[in-house]
Amino acid sequence: MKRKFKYDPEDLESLLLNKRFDELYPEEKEFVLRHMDSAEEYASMRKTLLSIVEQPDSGPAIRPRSSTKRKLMREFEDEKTATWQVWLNGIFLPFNRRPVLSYATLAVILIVGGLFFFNQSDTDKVMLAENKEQPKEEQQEADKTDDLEKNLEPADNSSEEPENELPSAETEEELEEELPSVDESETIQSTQKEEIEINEDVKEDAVMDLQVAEATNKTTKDMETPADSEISNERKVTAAESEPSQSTEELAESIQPQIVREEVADEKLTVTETNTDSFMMDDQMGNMYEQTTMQSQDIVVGKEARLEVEPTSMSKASFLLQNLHTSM
Amino acid sequence: MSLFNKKYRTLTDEQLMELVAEKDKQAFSELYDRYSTALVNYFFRMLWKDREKSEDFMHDLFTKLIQKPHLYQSGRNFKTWLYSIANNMCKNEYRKQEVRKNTVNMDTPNAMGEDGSEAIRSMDRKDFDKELELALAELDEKKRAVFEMRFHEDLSIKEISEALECSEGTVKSRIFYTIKFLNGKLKHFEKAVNAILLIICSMLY
Repeated sequence: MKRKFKYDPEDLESLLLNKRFDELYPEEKEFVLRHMDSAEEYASMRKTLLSIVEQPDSGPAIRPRSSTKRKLMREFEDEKTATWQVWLNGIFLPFNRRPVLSYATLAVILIVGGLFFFNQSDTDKVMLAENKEQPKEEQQEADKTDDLEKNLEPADNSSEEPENELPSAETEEELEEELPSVDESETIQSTQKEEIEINEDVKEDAVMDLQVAEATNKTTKDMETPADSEISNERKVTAAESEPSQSTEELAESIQPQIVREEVADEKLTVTETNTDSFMMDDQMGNMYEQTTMQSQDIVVGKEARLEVEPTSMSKASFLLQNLHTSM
Repeated sequence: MSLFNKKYRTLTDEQLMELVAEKDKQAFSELYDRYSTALVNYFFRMLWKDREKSEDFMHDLFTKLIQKPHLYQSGRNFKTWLYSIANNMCKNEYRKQEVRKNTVNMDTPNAMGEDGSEAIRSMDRKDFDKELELALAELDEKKRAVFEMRFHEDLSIKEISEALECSEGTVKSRIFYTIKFLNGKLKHFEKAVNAILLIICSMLY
């Protein structure tokens, strides 16, 4: 029967360190003698091993220099900072450390900054667009008032380009909204007719007065010296501008845009009363009444403005018309 | 501050190394305090007792820990990992200094000469150490590394096997053959050894 050894050859070290040859068990001796020639060799090896193991250090243990630790701790700090500064070292540290990362970081910052800037400008544009929406309505209203003011200019201009004064599709709709409905317009027409009949007499009187005034002016002009004429012109100007202008300005300031538009609409109607020629034509045209009234209104306003003080704004015209009403 | 130090002292090497990987300065300091002396002595013995070189090697080893802490695999024994790095550094240095090694061997006095005199036989402990050093210098790098780890760094067989990435049997075998080799080289110190053993025994008992 083959004997089984308890120890492996690798365990010889422990045997050598712990047991003398005579202290070994028989199987241990057998095991040792398989790897060694004799008991003497075992004893010799044991002594050598013990002398090595028990060997006191040939000198005091070397102590690492304190400067080595300081250096290492500094390196640790550098490495620690380098890890989080690696992406920003191009910004905060000189470029010569990691130029690729530095330029990459700079590029990223520029791109992000650019995107941010353009986004900001887009929002500004949107805000501008939003702001423009509000003025657009006001602009349309202003355009409408401008158109009306243009119509206040002398009738010669309006007669030259009558087609241009026709309202566009958009303004037509707006005007339709502003204009009264059919029933209302019928009642208005009837009342207007009555008023026209009454006012015809007044108009004729006014024309007569104007003619008389012109005749008197001519006679006074002939009698006046140049200096007197200048003074009189000044007086006319002041007389024409002082009271009415003050009142018109006050009206313009006090009246809100919406109200102004309403007044303009009223003025359109009232102004038509003053122009008898065009008004008669409008009266006879029946179905075309609404469209022609628009034209006739504009023309009449222009005439009325020219006859009076050539007002530059609708408010002045309205003032004059109000005066006309009160006088009637 | 002392509170923090106390906390770090209670941590294991592996825990400290994980903290080092997270850039914990105190953990690194603690690891350095634990292993710097042992490593510098290991390098000192392995690298021909060159003080400057051993300092440099120890510094390089800790620099590797700083720069590449991710190389440490959690769960592995830190000590064996550290010594495996140290051993690899020594192997590289042996390759570099192969010529020098040969020169050292050539310069080695024939202590085992057949004409060994009584003067040599009666060498004291200091001389024995010197002879031992010369004998170890003749060992191949694997056996020497095992010897140093086993008898100077007090690593267990298992730890050495992990550090050198070989089986425990291989480590034991290398130890045995190293002892046998040294026994042959230091046989003429038998008297001195006997004297030393007597001194040790008298001190122990």
